[in-house]
Amino acid sequence: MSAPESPQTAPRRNGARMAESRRTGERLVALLISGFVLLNFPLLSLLRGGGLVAGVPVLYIYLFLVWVGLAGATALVLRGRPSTPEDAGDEPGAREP
Amino acid sequence: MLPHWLILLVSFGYLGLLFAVAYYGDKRADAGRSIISNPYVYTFSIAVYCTGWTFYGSVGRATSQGIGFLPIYLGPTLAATVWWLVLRKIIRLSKANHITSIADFISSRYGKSSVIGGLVTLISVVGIMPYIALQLKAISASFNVLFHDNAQRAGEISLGHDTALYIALTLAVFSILFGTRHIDVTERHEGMVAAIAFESIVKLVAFTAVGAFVTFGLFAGPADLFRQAARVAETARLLDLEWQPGQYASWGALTFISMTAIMFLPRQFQILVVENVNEDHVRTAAWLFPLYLLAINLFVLPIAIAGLLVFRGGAADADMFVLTLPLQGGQGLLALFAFIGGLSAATGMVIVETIALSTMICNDLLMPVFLRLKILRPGNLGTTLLKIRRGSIIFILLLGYLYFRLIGESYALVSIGLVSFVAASQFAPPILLGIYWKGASRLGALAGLTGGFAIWVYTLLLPSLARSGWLPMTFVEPGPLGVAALGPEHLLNLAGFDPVTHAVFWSMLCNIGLLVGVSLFGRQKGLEQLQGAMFVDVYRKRVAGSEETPLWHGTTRVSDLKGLVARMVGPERTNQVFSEYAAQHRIELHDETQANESLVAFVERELARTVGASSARVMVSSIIEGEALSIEGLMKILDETSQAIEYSHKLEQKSRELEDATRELKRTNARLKELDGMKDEFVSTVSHELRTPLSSIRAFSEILQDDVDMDPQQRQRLSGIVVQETERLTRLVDQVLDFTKIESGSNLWAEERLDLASVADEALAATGQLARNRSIQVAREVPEGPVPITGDRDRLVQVVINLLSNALKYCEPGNGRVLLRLTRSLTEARLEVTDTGPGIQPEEHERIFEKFHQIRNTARGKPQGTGLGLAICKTIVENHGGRIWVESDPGCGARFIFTLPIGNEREGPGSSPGP
Repeated sequence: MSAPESPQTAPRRNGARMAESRRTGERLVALLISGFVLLNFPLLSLLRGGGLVAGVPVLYIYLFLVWVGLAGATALVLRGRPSTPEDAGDEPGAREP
Repeated sequence: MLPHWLILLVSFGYLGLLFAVAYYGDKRADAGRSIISNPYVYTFSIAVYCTGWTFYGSVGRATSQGIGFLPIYLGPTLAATVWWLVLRKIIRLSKANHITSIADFISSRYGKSSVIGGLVTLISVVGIMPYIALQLKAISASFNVLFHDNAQRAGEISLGHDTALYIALTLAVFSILFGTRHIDVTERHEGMVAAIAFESIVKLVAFTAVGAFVTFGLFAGPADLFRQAARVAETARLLDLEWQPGQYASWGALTFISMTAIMFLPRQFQILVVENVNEDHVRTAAWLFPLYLLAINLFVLPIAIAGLLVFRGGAADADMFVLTLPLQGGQGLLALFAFIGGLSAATGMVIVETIALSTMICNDLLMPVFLRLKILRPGNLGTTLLKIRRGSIIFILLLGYLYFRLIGESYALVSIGLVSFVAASQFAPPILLGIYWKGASRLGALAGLTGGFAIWVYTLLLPSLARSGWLPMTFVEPGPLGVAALGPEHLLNLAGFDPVTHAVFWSMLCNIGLLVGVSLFGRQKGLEQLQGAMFVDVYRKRVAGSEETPLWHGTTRVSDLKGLVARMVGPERTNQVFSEYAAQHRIELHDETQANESLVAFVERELARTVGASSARVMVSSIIEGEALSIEGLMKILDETSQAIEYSHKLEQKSRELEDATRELKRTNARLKELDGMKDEFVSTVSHELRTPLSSIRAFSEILQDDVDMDPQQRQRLSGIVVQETERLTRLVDQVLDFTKIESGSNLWAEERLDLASVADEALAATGQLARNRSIQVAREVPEGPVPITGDRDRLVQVVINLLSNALKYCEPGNGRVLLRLTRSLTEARLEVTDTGPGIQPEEHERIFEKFHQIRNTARGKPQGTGLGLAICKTIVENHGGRIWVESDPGCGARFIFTLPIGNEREGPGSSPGP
């Protein structure tokens, strides 16, 4: 908290930030779980014998699409997330430049 | 055929270029304009994950398992999704504690234990040995392919094993130059990181170039490649998932160990955590790094298939397709470029890994032992540290070379690497549980790591030696002493898993089980508890004030502390550090004064930057006289602090509630005072009103009494006045009584079906005389037919009479006019009484309905009436479920309106009181 705030608004805003921060965490964990499920058996076994689409194996296409999707979703969740107070760097003072 | 001198020239030229990049990075860092303080450089440096394994080995694995090489890259992609949560916390902790390596991190978490630090170091060195051997094998194999320009002979190593030895020594020199020029390890290796990021770009471009050449040069695009592959049985199976027993588990296990490896391989920890400049860079790396992995893996399968198609039936080493395919296609320079890419991948890994491991060997394995044994000579320890680290680098590379000599020929690249991955995954439980579970204890971590590592040695390392002929093969099959249940690849006859999955299962079961079990049933000591609480609650650390926590209870002098630091970093830097501390805390430090606890803690942290947490603790304790602070006492202080903060939060909340209550009370009090004043006024008004008729009654009665000779007509007139005044008195008293009765609600009202029109007519008739007296016209507008309502007739008549008489009272006699209008809608009846009087000020609109309230009429001097009429009306109307209000502009008359619900849906009067 850099700017001085009145004692009544500060806790409320902190609360909102913490809720937002927790929500980001929940989204990321959900991404991890869905990614793990999508990129593992038994779902992968559904693609067995999928053959070629446009000359490329379906399995290949599927894995790389999920891959890009995961990276994109992570970027989306973390995009422009405001820095919460606990995000602010607080390195110990006696550090050399 | 490329000339040998060209290959050597380009190789060393490239290494020189790397060094130039590193030198530039260091120069920029010294000038304070870091080039690595950038999320993209950070992301590229993380790509040190892609080593010779990725560059050469993935293709080899793809030729046998198709898409099976991918879990190693899917794992990191998955792990990256939660980097923002997990990695950021580790970075935050490491910066706060001046962590120098993964061993330092784990030992710090578990009470700065030297034993844990040493064990982690041991596991790392032994576990990474195969991984370094893999790089040496990759580089020497690629050298040989290029030297002989002959794909068929790639498997042979004609220069003998010496190639690998020369390479190992060259890399050792390089690592020493990159990593051990300074001793302060938390002063990051900016130059090294810059070089690593540069290498990551080179290897990506090189691999993609080969992939593009193979796909579009040797074949007519991916569709052509895959179509040709589909026609050959050997390659067709790579396009699909083959059913193999244990495949589900194997895929899942590889994903899991690569998820842990991306963070907990010593070099990954070094790059991700120790070399991190700004934790916000994680935000970019979390999505960009997976894309890097995707890009470098895009052409693995095409190259593998192309290699199988081109060298069909040949004995070409599949691990070297990346080089042999361009050579086969006559592209010598492209092969050279690919070779440089592979060199980048392998050297990058070796440089970072050896620097990370040498720091660990020095800080967490050797220093604590040396310090305890007190075998270090007095003098500057800094140079000793540097020597230890340089020696460690050479030692590690030679160890890697040794492993390469032992088993190098019998394994493919990826199989060697997986052995190391399983070793690194042993660090995941103590770290992940350690930063989220305060209960994880030192003994638990020790037991878990030891158990996991022992299983790793037994199930992966020993079989690899056995397969290479260094142990009898009967050790693996059927098992030691011929007992199948002891077989290292099928412990307790657990079947259906490949060796890696088998090792992952048993080592994780043992590691996690022991860590959790021992922690649950053991007791933590003070410092462990403190460090555990601090690691789990790092985001709340301002509460605990861990930075200023006085850990030392004994006494020492400032000069002793200075001497200690000076041994590490030299006197000049020491004075600088101490004067900074003095300036920051606004105190004077004299050599002979007793050092306070905060200064001792500060010195310990300063030392930790160089020698790691556990060594720093040993060093500080060596000069402290007296006993260390009882940590139980300290924990109590911490607990009290956090409790006090919680109390103060509660107090704040209470005081806010109190403030609110006080404000409310004040408001109510003011209102009460106002009402009290009104009541006084009302009493005086009533008394006044009562006195007027009383005094006239008394006066006239006295006249009648005294003047007995009064003529009868006069007497009649006077007694008539007395009677009239008495009646007025009675009316007044009645009204006051009425109001109190209505107010107290003790009266019982009739409930009957009524016609509001007839109520209005009755009221009009009752006020007719008053209207005639004041010569005021009263108009009536009533709809055809009855207006049915339910209620008490007399009360409602009283309401209308009150309104009408008010209107008549305020109208100008002679030309005033009053209008009574009754309307009805579907749900309610509405009655309006409009007059042409002086009107009512807007601020009075609400208040005239309050009891005792009277409009001050300055022109007439005293208030008119008792101030109860409208209050009575309001009470009656609201008790009937209706509403009453006034619309008026001053000077234009007033209109009083009330509404009542139509019909009989209302339950009864009195049951729905007004607001």
